[in-house]
Amino acid sequence: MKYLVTDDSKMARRMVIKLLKELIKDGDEILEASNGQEAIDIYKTDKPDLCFMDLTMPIIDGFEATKQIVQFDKDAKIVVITADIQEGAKDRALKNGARAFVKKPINETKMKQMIRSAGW
Amino acid sequence: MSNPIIFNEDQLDCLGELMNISYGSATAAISEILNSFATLNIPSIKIFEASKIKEYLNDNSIQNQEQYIASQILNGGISGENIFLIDIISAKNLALEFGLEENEINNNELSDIVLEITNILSSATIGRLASDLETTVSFEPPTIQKIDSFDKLDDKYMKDYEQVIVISTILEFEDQKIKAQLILLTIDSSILWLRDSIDKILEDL
Repeated sequence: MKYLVTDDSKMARRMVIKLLKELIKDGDEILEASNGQEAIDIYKTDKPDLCFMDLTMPIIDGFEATKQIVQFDKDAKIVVITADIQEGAKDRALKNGARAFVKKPINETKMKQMIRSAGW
Repeated sequence: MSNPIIFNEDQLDCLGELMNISYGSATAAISEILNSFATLNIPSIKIFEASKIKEYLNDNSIQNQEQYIASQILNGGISGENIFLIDIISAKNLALEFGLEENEINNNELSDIVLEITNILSSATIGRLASDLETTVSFEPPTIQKIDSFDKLDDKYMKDYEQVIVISTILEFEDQKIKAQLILLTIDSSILWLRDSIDKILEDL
């Protein structure tokens, strides 16, 4: 499995990666992007199996990156992990094709629940 | 003047992420009241001498007209001031969203609403940050001034602090034409405390 973790904060990426490392198998790969444009580019090249996407980012935000990735691959699995906890943000992210919406800060319980509920 | 307090790239990144989460909570609190969606912007973080606050505000404020500046003193792990800036037009639009009629809007009503919003934003922002950093913070009642230039800002902002860490974000409700700015000023001891707390978080990652 390939995972893509997108966040403009290195600390936020590290938090997700730390949790992921406890759940993934040997040989799985974790890729990183620091903005929406990088996420789109990496997705098109590496086609990760699961993407974690922040919303508030420079260059291209997570709403637009999600939309463009899903336009490129309608089966893309994108989980939004964000500090923007407004209902409007959730609606917009899901409308753009995100499969799940998780509030920051992410923790082990949220990560496991999200992966389990999505059947991944 | 003591030595300047410096944050490295990782410490700034971590503080930015913590503030992003805090401002997310604050934005959600206000968007729920207004039943509206706000654009959440990436927080900007700067550390400089307190004597340069007016210069910073003149250069970085989104407002260029008459505005309210409400501030609330914070005591505890995070000590300093939380400042909320809103121009008169945005404040009037905010008042209309709160159900006031045009003919009811006056300076007292606007001040009252801005103070209430400042209370909500302070508790949502700082409450969240304090919780994430495992500390407690108490709030003094907010005060408000109406100014048409930052040069007229009360000098207490420069007298009370030596260095300040200024964390700023823009809160924007596009449909309601409301734009405001939130600024957190903290004193030297709190800046050092923040840096130590951040180091502990980073060590765990």
